[in-house]
Amino acid sequence: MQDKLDKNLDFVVKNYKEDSFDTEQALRKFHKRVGDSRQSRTSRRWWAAAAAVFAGAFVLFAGGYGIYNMVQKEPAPAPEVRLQQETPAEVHTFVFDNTPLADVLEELSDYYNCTLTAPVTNKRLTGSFPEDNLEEIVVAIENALDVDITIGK
Amino acid sequence: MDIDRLFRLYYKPMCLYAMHYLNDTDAVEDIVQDAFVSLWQKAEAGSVPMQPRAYLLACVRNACIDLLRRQQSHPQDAMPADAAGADTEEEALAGAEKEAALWAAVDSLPPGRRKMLLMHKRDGLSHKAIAERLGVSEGTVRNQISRALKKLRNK
Repeated sequence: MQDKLDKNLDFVVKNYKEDSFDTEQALRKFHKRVGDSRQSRTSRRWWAAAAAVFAGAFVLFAGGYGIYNMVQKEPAPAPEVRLQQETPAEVHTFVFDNTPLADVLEELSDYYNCTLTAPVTNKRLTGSFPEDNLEEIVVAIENALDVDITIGK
Repeated sequence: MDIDRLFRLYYKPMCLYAMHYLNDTDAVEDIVQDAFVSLWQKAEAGSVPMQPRAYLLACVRNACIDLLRRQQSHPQDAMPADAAGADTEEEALAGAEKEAALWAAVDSLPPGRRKMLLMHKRDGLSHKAIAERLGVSEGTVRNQISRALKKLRNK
């Protein structure tokens, strides 16, 4: 027993080297080695978790924004069209005072950019007509003068 | 598995075990560190060895043999030095555990006493030579070494 102890002691003393086999120092070194691995893995997990949270937040935000737009959406304003406001004073009035029918037809033709003809044009017209549908004006004149008026292009 | 507890329990014995293969404390510490890292990786992977001590022993032994194979021309001769007294690996490890305790005891010796002990037992200097180098009496050297060995033998 003593011989064996002496053999162990002899081995230790002959091979002893100062500052070697310091367990706590080695343990710190070990932690540093595996800690880097842990940290890398932890970092990857953290980044993966952060990416998942970000993606989820993005989906929620996008969905919420979409819902918000659906609820709040107003019809697009129609392009503004300015219609010329016609006041009674601005409505054109045809005024005929014993005007030959030929002149009446010529004035109406010019205004409405068409060709009005009648087989008889020696009749005269007295009266006033507001700018209106040409068809109705022609009918009024036909009734007043008992003539047939043809509207040509 | 408490890796820190295992480390504190087996680090030094594994180092002393490896010292029977290699006479290089730096290489030994690297090999033992690698063995513990390997054990930790196994645990992290969910496959904790049933007997961590045996696993560490195998890792250290194989790493030592691999290193000796790279260094020696006759790798088949790679056997632990002074292993003749050990019939089994268990006996070798038991011896390494005793040696680890002795190593720690040497660490704990007063610096002067440790120096004299090592000069005599490790460096092979006589009591007289040590006394001359350190400027002390030969009796002091003899006394200090005797006290150191007494403490170590009581471990």
